[in-house]
Amino acid sequence: MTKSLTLALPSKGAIAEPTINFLRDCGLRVEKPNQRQYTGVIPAIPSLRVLFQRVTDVLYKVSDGTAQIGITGLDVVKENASDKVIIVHESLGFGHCSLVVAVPEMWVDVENMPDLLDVALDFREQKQRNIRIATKYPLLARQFLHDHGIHHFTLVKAEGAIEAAPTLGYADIIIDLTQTGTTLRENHLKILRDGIIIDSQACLIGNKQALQENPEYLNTLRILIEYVDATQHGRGYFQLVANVKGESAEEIAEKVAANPITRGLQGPTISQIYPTHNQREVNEHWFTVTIIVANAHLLSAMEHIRSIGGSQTIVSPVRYIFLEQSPIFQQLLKML
Amino acid sequence: MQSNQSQRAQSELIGRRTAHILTILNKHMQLYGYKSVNLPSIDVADLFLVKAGDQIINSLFTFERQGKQFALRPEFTASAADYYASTTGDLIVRWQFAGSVFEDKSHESNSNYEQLGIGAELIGIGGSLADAEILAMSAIGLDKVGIVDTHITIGHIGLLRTILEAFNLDIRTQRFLLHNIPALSAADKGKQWIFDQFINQLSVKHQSIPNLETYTVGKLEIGESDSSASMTMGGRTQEDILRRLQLKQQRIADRDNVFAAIEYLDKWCRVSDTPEKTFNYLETLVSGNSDAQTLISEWRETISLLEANHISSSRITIKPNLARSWDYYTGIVFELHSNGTHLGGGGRYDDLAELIGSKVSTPSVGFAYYGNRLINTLSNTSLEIESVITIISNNDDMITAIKWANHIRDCGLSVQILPQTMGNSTDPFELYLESATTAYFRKSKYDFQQFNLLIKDLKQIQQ
Repeated sequence: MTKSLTLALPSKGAIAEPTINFLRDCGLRVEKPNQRQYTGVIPAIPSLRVLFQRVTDVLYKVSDGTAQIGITGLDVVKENASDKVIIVHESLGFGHCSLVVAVPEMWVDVENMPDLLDVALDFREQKQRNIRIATKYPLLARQFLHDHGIHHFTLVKAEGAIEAAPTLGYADIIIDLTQTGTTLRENHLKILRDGIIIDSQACLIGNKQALQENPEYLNTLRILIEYVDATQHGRGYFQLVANVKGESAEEIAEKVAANPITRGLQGPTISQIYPTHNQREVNEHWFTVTIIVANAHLLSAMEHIRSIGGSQTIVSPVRYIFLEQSPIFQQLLKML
Repeated sequence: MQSNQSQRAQSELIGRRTAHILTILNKHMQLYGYKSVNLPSIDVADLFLVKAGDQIINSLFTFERQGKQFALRPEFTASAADYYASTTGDLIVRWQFAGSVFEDKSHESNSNYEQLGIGAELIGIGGSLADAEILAMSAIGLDKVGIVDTHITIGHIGLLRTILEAFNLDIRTQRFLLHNIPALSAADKGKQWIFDQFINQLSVKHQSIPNLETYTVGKLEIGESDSSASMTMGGRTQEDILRRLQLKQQRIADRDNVFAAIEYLDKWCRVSDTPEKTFNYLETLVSGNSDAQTLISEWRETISLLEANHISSSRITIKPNLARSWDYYTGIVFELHSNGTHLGGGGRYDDLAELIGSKVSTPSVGFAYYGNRLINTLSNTSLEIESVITIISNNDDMITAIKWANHIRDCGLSVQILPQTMGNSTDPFELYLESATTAYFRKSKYDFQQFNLLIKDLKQIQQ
């Protein structure tokens, strides 16, 4: 009997729903038989079971081995560093946010971290107290401040909406997560130019020892990573199918490949179209060209296809691109 | 198994070296009148943050209890100054200390969080006599431990501060320049780099001072009522912000002075040589600055007092830009090296007690050895393993065995008791009991009195 690999997922919070959506988009629909239970399954990978936990608890459950892998925020992993946990994939492409240093907009003399260092010393010399910084991320905050020469400060531990701390007066500045900066602006705060501590997004983590010691876990994880990796690669491309008039497949291939944008991953696929009776009489030869085009180059590719006589072009998103090997899995093997 | 055995042997060797070093240094410092003090291993983190340089701060072991941040001591000086400031007694104290100090080096592989710190502080006396005492005691201590070819490198932060004062720069700019002195000798940095950093970090380039009376960013309108006129969000007043903007502009106005100061520092830091050559060079640089000339004279005096302490000038290098920490040292700073290994260092820190909360300025000078490095440096020195006599006892003569053991200990020899089944017949120091008064030692039979004579011989061998 195959040993089940447990994947811990966030049960609530900003990345809970995006995580389920992300897995669904990878072809890994999560089924939760009972809404009140904390477990679920992914039918596409029978040897995987799902455990729902709070976003910080995902890390703890992976760290203590209750779950062998998990999806949580990179900010959570960096703040609660554990040598038992490895980051399998650090950019799942959703849940983007940044941990930033934000000061009152009224501090017009403060634009960057050296300014803040100066002000922190002013607090000490002129107000005989440390500058107070509200944060939920004491470890990352402290390290970042020390790295910028700021050693005299008091961290005020806070939960909830800490953007209000300077207005309410229990902190002078804040270090917090932001997605768009709107909430900060609404609370009359501004982000320092060099005050971004970490750019975070959802990441896949694993318990190093469990993965090292259990080949079955590793094999199930490989399947999961294959889906994720292939989906992420596929997202960057469109599949373009066009009919092109020409004398031969070789001639069409040469024309298509003349533009690097329409060369595809390996080269164009050309297949002959067998015309209807009427078209046969006009003695025209048509071919179907199939290529993969990077998203950003779609319109340029279309123009080139048209310029070589292409028409009736169908464009569809690419669901998966499976490379020879999954780069993320190869990277994981090296880490283990 | 073999590996475990060698680990155990290594650990025992380190234990012997540690005991050897601690015993010798403790006695050595006692001869100068330094009393041992016991300082706390855990204290409020702010105590260490006040004093420590950037390197220590980045690796301070901190934790929180009831909203207060604590730290494991990274060194002894701040604790000693705090203890001095918070207790009453003699105005002049000579304290020595030894124990664990802690650094969080979790980012380094094979990190060893706990290190042995050994050092001393002379609090309450200023001047060259005290400086020379600490310098000499620290260097001679290494000689006594058995570390050869020790060399002292000496700098003077007070002198550097004095020459910078001549450029009329604000304290923050002075501090910035001192911190960036190492960049003067870095291949990819240099004078222009430091100046560019100054412009970027400490001064405004083209920013004019806004009128804060009408400044309404964030709709927090300053001046809307009398009570809010002087306050703004984040604990700073309009005046604070204006004053700082003006200071930043002042710095840009002073840019020529800053560049002149950087050029001067560049000249200052070019020399690192014997005392005589370096002092002659520095004196040409400070002509016209009487404060600096006085400090150089005192520095010369310190070196001559070292020679009186049998520290020859060939063991001394004067390095005017030697930096241990710019944050709290006020006078000489020094480092001790042996064959390229940095074994310790110290310096004068007259302002520390005040920074910590003392009402009065207290002249202080001190040093510390990196204990673990001393232990490693002693690796080629063979330390005799002290012989331990083993009394082999069976169940019937345990009381007799204990009496014999205590008798031998009273004579100053080490002894252990083993059950007969655990004895090792090849051990030359085994003692087999025959009766309460007779025993076999090295196959010869002794009574109590004869054995006393033998112990005297053994003690002489050990000594």
